[in-house]
Amino acid sequence: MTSVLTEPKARQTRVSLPVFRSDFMADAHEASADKRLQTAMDNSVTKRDMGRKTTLAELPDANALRELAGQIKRHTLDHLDYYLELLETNVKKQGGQVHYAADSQQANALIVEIAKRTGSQLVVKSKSMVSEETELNDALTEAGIEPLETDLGEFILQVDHDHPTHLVMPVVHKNAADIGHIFERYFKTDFTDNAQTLAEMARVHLRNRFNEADLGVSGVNFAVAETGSIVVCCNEGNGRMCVSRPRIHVALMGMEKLIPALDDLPVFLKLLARSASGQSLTQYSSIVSGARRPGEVDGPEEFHLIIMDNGRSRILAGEYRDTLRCIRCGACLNSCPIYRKVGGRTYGSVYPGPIGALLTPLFNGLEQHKHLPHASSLCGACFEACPVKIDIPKFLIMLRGDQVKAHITPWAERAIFKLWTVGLRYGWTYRLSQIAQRIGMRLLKDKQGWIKNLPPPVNGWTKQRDFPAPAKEDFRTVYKRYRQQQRQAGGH
Amino acid sequence: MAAELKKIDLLDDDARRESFLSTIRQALGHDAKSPSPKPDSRPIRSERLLRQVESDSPQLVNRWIEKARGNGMTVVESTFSRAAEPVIEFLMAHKARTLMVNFSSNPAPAIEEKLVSAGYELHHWGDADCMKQAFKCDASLTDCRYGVADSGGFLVWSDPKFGRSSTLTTAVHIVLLPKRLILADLIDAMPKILSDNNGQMPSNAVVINGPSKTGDIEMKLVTGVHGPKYLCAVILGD
Repeated sequence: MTSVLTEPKARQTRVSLPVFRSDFMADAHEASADKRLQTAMDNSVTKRDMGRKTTLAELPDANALRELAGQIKRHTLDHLDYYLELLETNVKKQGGQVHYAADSQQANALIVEIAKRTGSQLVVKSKSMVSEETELNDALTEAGIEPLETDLGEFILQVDHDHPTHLVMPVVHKNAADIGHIFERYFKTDFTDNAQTLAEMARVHLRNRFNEADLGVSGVNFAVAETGSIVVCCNEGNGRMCVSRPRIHVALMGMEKLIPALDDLPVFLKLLARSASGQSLTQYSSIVSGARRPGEVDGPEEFHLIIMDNGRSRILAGEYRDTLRCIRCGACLNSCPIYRKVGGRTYGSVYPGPIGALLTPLFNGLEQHKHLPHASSLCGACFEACPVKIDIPKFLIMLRGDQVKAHITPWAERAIFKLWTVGLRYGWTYRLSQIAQRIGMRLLKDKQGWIKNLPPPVNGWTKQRDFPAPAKEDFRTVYKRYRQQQRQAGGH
Repeated sequence: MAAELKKIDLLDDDARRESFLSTIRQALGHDAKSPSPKPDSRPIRSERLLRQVESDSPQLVNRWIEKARGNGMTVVESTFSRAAEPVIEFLMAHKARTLMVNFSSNPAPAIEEKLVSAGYELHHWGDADCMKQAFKCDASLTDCRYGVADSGGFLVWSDPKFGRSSTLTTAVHIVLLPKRLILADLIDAMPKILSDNNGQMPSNAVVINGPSKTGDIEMKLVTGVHGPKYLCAVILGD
């Protein structure tokens, strides 16, 4: 198997995901100090995590079901070539068209070409992280075609020229007042922060646009190879509008979204909404199989499925294949103490949180995203939350190892770990290093016995914490003396 | 900003397809040019892990009602002969005067007569202007294919008689669900989509679990974002 390291240089440096921000440490500090962000995260993300646990408990054996879901995804990935061809065959049997896109440029170009050929001027979009990957909106705009987000959260971000910071709750970083001001500017109306009123404003505005739109773009939660169907799960109903009202429907999917058969679908439907938002199912689970049939009054006249690679085949080929199991539920984000603190923007690209810390370096290369594999305390909460059992901590550790092998880590860190290895190798080197450490640390302590300022390059440790100086004597010395005293006293 | 797009020729799909599939085959260690072999087996889904409600459960209907109410639906029980009463009551509560009516397989002429007598303006799916009326009407009245007790939802699918819009575009939606059509679990409902359609998938099948909603704004629950704001299920028994 190849790995990120053994990839030819040209492929390693090819960026697949857009990079919005690149100073992880500065962004993390800023986000941690942002009280509004912290409040928003506490309100939203922790509630979702609790909801997940509550609704998973409804299932006969949630842990075993997650195991099964992971196995189905692994099986599909191991035979992805077969299932892609099966999906294509069955989509075409229903009159749909299938297009393959090697990268985001091709995906965008395909959609632009379909729009141009069908004379589409307005494209309505339901929530799609894959379209964020490709920056589809920019491509459409440059081609003179108007893209319009219809998910409430995505619509707010579009009018505010911002990016989503969560896979499922895109506008989690904004409060009602923020949104009220955004709508005040956009709709040129009086300010309100009433959520129902704000939603109503968006409904009225978007409703008219659905009727004007020529083309609807949706993402794909699952693609069922056996039936040639795609599944779109949503709560608002905009997903249903996008796949039903316009005369052309384009579904854009990452190639890993496949599942083999219709009887696999309940496994994932029962886990997805529970993991994402603590619901037993989303309000609408749509199974779309092509365009409208003869005699049907509504539904699109044409259905196009675009299957995109954009770097996934590199991951498929290597030891990180299981990261492609991800069903983009956001459960790992909701459970992650780091994400809750630093928010989604800090991760710098399309996918935030633990899964983003894995995928972004895998797609774009470790060099550009050095901090992401370390944006984790390895507590394992993400692994416990993941409905398809991606062992995220294990893969993060592997990425850290890849960084070391590629000499991407700071020289000082490598030097310290080298010294540490030497110190741990033999008993005498260990004792010697302990003596040296004790002497050195005790020189740094203050009158109360605390070390508050370590010198560079380890001064980062004491920027935000103090720790006690080592004791005068180490345990071995104390224990040796204790044993001597015992022997002298006639003990063992 | 997106880099300038190279013009792509849709007609060159075959070349792109071969290159794409070849890359996947190589990534999996398969022969790049040969069609991919069918897997010998696949993970078996265990009903024990999935089934939340037994199909012979005497509490099927009650379970459905409890879950549907939890999802935000209004649920009323009635008989076939008196079904118009809760329908009219719900319409009055939400000041709805115009209705889009769409029944796929269980038409209810008796209800329609009573609605007309009560002064409601009815439009029917399939009429020449039904697409426009689906957006203009205050409410819609439909049946559904099945109820699904484990989640408290109901299943609809489109065909020449049943539209997508009739369960989607009005602010008020009333669905009639006979008790006998309530299935226990989602794993019972999925095979029905194929078996009731001669082994073919309909163009659009939807499990509807409640009114349109979002928590995007500070996790405050808001209903009626794009789909119906008010959803009432009338459970019909003899």
